[in-house]
Amino acid sequence: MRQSDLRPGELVMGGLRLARARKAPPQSELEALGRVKAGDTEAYHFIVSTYMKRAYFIALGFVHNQEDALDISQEAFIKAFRGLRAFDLKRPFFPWFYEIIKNLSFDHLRRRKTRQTVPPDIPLVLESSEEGWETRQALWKEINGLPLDQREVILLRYFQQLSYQEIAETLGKPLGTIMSTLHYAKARLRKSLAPHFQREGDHGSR
Amino acid sequence: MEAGKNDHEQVRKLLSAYVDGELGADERRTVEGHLSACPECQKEYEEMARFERVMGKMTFKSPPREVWELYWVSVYNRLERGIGWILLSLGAIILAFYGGYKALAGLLHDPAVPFIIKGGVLLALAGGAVLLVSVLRERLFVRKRERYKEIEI
Repeated sequence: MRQSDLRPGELVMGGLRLARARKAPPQSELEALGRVKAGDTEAYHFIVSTYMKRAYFIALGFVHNQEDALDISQEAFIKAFRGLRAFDLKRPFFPWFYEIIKNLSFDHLRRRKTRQTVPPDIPLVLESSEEGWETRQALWKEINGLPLDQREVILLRYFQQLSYQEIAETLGKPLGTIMSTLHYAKARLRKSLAPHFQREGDHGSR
Repeated sequence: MEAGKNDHEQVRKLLSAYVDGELGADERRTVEGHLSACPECQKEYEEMARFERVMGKMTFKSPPREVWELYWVSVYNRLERGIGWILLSLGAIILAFYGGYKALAGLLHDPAVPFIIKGGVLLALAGGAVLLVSVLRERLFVRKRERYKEIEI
């Protein structure tokens, strides 16, 4: 039996499909987290579905490799699941989860550095309906040349489409700090990318 | 003139948030009022807006749809495997300790077995245990890696 034949919550043992008794799915993140804390693993499906894409793309922004990003994002869900027992439900889930993904990503980067494997081909990660390969490559290089605090706000703003307020909550920083960090990060990117934008401007600004 | 200069400096700081649609009504009005009167800020605004358009079109490459379809099953399996691994380890440790204790006690208390044999058995047992754990862990690691082959369709 292939994994894709399985519905979440079903388990295969020795070729037998064991269906679980189904409870009503959680209606909110808080309810799902509460149920997971109380031992209902199925309720975690709600959390995973809500955050899987975000988790994957956050990890991808740090490690630049699709397979590693998938592995790290899933590992982050496992870690969060185990940590939930001690998690205070009065706190927002996502900032805590973001920290887990970030830590796992940086652990991974440290290991990759010590193993000295070949870094992945960075521009393959970025897509654009308008800008050419050269601009994407330059942009990605510039983003990754930014200091970590600036890089994080750029990734969260443009690749997670978070508002300033959401970025501030995620990173646990004041709104004003986020505004000025983003302002400086954007100014730096605009400056270094100006030649590319001008060159490709004719078809880029249509 | 002085008020105009202050306005100019203030608007320069707010422009980025203005382009992002993150300003309140009052600040937005200040920026818009200044933009219509200041060609320099207007130019800056247009460049920022262009940057936003370019960034708005940039996305990360999405993995195949199947990755999302199998995502929960994958996480769930990993969770279960973790629990299974803990139970297996606990059971194995209890059994190994009990069996090892019984066998060793019998061997060590047997006066007919020479000392060198007793020492050899002890070493062989220790080596065997290390190898077993190592092989088991390697097999689990390989299975973990193989799951991604199924995902990449």
